[in-house]
Amino acid sequence: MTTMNIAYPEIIVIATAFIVLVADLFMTERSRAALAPIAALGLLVGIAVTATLTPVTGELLGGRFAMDPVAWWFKIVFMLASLVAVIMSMDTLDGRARVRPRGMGFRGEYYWIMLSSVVGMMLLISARDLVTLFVSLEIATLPLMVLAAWRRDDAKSGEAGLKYVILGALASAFIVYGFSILYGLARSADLNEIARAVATEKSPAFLLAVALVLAGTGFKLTMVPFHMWAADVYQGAPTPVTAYLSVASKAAGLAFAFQILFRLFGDMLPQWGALIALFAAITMTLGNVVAIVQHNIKRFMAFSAISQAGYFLLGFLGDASEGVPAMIFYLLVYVVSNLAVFACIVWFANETGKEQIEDYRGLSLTNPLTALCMMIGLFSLAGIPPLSGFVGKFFLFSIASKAGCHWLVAVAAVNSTISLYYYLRVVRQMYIEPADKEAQPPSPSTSISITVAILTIVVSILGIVPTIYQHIHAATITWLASLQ
Amino acid sequence: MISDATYTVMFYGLSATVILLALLAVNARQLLRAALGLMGMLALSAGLYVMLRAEFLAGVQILVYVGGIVVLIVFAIMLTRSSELLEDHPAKLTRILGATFSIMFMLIACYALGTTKFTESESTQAVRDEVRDIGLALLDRGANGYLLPFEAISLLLLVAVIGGTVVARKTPPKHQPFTTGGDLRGETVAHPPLVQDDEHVVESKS
Repeated sequence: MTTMNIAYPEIIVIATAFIVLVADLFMTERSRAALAPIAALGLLVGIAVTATLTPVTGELLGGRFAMDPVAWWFKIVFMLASLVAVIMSMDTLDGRARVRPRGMGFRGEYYWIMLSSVVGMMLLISARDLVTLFVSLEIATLPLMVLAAWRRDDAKSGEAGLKYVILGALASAFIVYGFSILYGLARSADLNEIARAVATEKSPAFLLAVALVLAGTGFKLTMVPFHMWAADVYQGAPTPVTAYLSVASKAAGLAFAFQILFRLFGDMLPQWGALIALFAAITMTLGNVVAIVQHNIKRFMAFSAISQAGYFLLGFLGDASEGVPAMIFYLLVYVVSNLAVFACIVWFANETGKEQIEDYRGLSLTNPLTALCMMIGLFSLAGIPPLSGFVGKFFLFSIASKAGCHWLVAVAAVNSTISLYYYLRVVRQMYIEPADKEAQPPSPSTSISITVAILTIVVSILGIVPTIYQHIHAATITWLASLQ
Repeated sequence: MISDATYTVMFYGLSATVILLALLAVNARQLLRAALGLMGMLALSAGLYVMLRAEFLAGVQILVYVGGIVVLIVFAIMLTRSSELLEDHPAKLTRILGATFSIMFMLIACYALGTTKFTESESTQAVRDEVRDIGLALLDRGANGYLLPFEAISLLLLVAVIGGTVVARKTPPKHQPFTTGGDLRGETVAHPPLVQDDEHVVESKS
């Protein structure tokens, strides 16, 4: 099939990005407040067009760009995440924050770069050859590095950007070295052809290539021991960027891991079960244990995100027909829950300029609804039963259990308990500690309040309404059949 | 056509020099020396490409790396006070660990690449008109073309240019009231807060 409409989502997002960039040139500073609504509208149209896309499978450019049901889900998640991130950034960039962070400006360029990274992520999951895969991975991550360093004259933000660039370049070098060896072995850049060519390959060079590519993937997924960049980058980046980074880079990392582990090395994945299980165990344990002692809420969320990466890895064990839908569902849950929590953090930072966990004391007295939403988001991340986080974790744990890794399920369960402890630390500050009498109570913001409300409702019902998981599961079956 | 013996001598001579220059680039105490080592290393690897009969790639290597990137690095070194930043002596343990891991990786890579039999591509003899072929492949919309990455990489370059401009810009643009020095007290300041002449700006409190 060579119909153009499967590329409409990408075209719409690129077009929106350039409309924002060009409009920025001709606008006065006052009217630049319209840029965020334009970007958000473009993403909404992109989501609507993707949602109504029929059929969701197809190829363009002789199979170099392909759409499939799993890519469809990923694209929806990417666009949703950036839509929320755009709305979250509005208050900070338009100067509506009570405490303005140092050096946030260049609104047109900010939204343009954010939309470019979405385009990169969308191309990433649709890529079918090594060159496109690598280029789109760079388009997805380079904007994140720039955004992390966005705050002018702020030493922390600059440090975050620099660390991200250096370690990101190292990870990219690993990936591209591995790709070059793979190309040499398979004599083709096409992912499906490489998969066929290396299906029976056992040579040392192939194993070296696999190790290099997986190390790079681990970096993007913040898998321990490739997680070192996360904490400093999350803490130093502007808060709305941290929110975007925590969900978008994780989703892009998972998309990249899907391309590598299922499309490229799909035949070998079952043999690597023990190794993946080991990495999953280390990742969630280290992330959780270090999160306990954090005081800065952004750093705290960074380690929480690292431990969540460990839960994602459980889905690569065992049968792909169950692992893939579980991972996509948990990605959706993680994105929504994390964004709900981060929307509260962004709002709180805008109003008070504080980002220590202790600063949240008494929030339930001054802003009861926001505190409630943040608590629901945190509980969903911890996996408390009625919320969607529990359902997502349950699917992932049951996959590990079916794959025979009972020890890993035990480790994961213990880790969930540890994570509950540190998520409760925030809740305790909000609900039990008395409010600071002298401080001015933070006042609500319209855009963020609406976002938080919608996200909280989604967090609460995503696990109860079965249709979404059913849709993901059906999509996966078609996708897996097409991989064979 | 050069003889096999000359070819071998040339290959090993070039490779050894490239490796030495690469070591210089990493280990040199002075940044400018490191940059020159990098330049020599990149220029000589173009020689390796010529020996592999990839003349176009060799030309691009010289143009982009030697002519562009290294020159940029040299400018950056000369225009900044980088000579004051040189006193960086990493701890002994860090250096030993770094060296150990690098050597281990080198040994593993040598073993892996040396023991694996790579099948030779059939197209080694078909390198006539190389530039034309590359140009056609970059714009080919078919299954063997690279139109999508070719177009995508232009977006990547634009991201890098605009992002680099924003991050590196020294003066704030006029009439952007929110590019402020910030409202927070006691924040780490790398430079004094930016001065704004716009009436929208609340006076910076820091």
